[in-house]
Amino acid sequence: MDLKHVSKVALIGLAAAGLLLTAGCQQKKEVVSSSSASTHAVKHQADKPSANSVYFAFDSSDIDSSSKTLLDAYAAWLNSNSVKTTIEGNCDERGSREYNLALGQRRADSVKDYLKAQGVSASRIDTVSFGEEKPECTGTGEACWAQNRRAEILPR
Amino acid sequence: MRLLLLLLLITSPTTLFAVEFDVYQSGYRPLNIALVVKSSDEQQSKKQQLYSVVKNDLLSSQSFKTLDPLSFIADTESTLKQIDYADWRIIGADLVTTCQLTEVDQKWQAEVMVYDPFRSKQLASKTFIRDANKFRVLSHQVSNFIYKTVIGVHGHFNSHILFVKKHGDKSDLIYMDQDGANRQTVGKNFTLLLSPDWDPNGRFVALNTYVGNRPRLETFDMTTGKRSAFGSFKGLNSTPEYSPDGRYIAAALSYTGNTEIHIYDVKKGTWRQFTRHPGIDTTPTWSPDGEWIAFTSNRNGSPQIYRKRLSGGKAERISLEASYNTSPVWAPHGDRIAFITLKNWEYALATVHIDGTGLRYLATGKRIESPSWSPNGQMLLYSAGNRGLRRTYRIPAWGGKAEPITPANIDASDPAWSR
Repeated sequence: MDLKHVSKVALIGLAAAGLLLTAGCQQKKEVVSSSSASTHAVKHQADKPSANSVYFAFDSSDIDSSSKTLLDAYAAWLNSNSVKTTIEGNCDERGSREYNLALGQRRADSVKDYLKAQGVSASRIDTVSFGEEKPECTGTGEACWAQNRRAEILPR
Repeated sequence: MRLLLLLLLITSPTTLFAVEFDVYQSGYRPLNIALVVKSSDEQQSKKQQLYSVVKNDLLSSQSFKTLDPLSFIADTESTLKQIDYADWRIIGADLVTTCQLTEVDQKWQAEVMVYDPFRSKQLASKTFIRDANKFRVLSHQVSNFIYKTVIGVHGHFNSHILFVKKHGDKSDLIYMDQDGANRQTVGKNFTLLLSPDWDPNGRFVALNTYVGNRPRLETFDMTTGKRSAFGSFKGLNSTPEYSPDGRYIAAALSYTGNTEIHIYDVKKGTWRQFTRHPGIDTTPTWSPDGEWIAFTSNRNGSPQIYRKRLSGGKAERISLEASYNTSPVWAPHGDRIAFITLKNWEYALATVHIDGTGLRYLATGKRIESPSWSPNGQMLLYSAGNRGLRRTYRIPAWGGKAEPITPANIDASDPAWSR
């Protein structure tokens, strides 16, 4: 086992612990190779955030500050991994189903726009809206509705 | 008595329950109609079938009340030969309809007369002939004739209804006659199925479905069962709506980066963008003359109803009350737009004049959605229901009682009335 590998593993472990501690806060990690034999710089490394949903207020597609923290972490991860993602926009059951389809799309698009602004290529991000057709929580009441007003970021 | 008064005082304050909508009730009194049907003795079952179809049609319109034949003074035979108006006035019949049903060469013939006993006058008469396998169509023609003669508007009794039946993750497209007869599944196991809309000729249905987690717009040919995609852009492809001449389909697409109304030319297979605004624009509906499109937009913060000329110009706001108004559907006669309005999470089906005046709330309930006009503009369909199963209801557009038209044990949403 060479030193480079060890340090990487340790850093990833630390980063993961850090992520857990800060509950999804942004973690930009730079792995600096300590091996003098390396001929090129190691790429930026970022872990995939454990959460994959950001949430919205009723009839809103505005991204709040806690969502930004998670999306920053996603942007870092996407920028260091060549994965493609689909962002699925969803709504709670209140209001018109057809209008909610458009609102879900707008939520997905606003997440996409945010990630683009953080340097993620638009061609890697796909969006789709399910309106209120795919609720995470099927009960009634704000606690449930709040879980359904979301955009999910899914690798594809 | 004092106790009663006390009870009333305790229970009467209705302010405890926020009732947001004052539901409109017309002062219309249904007309009493006597239906007199005659056939030969061997054809009693057919006679009974015609009688019950016509009776059900007239009752469902809420414009008529059929009189119990047991109350008739005059007998069928003599009434068909020579009506005695006095016999019908006495039992309070505003109208008398006689129908002589006969079988001629494997066809059925209905000879219909409509009388007004209080004016001692025959209003109209007509004979209808149909093949034996079109007996229900013939019966509905009789209903249509009575309706047109008395109300002055074409009857909607030979029209059809589509709705979406959701079961688990899958949705079926269900077809039925307007009275619920002939119900059948015409499309099976769609992955989500939303916003079906009939073309004016009744052959094609435009709809929004998902294939491999991608929304797309399709037409569905009801004569062949063939599905064809006509809109599968990046992002949203939703809410298709045929123009009154069937040449175009308006829909909401988001490939430009924002949900806008676009118009598909069915003949040429080309699209053009209709609205351009940073807000959401969706659920287009055409004016009967094809010159305007009304739609839902949140351009001023919350969803409201607007209309805009096909030839261009500024969008004009129609809905003026409440902060959440969606799902506009233009009436076939053009005078009103039906839509869904929300106040404090109470839903109502409402109609309003094009200039935003004359607002009427027709029905309230849990999650009222998807209004659809009858072809004559006299009735409206909508779906409603809280958790679990939704039902489709029918209500007179002029204010009346909402009646379910789908069974209680299936989820029935997105009703669409043929044009």
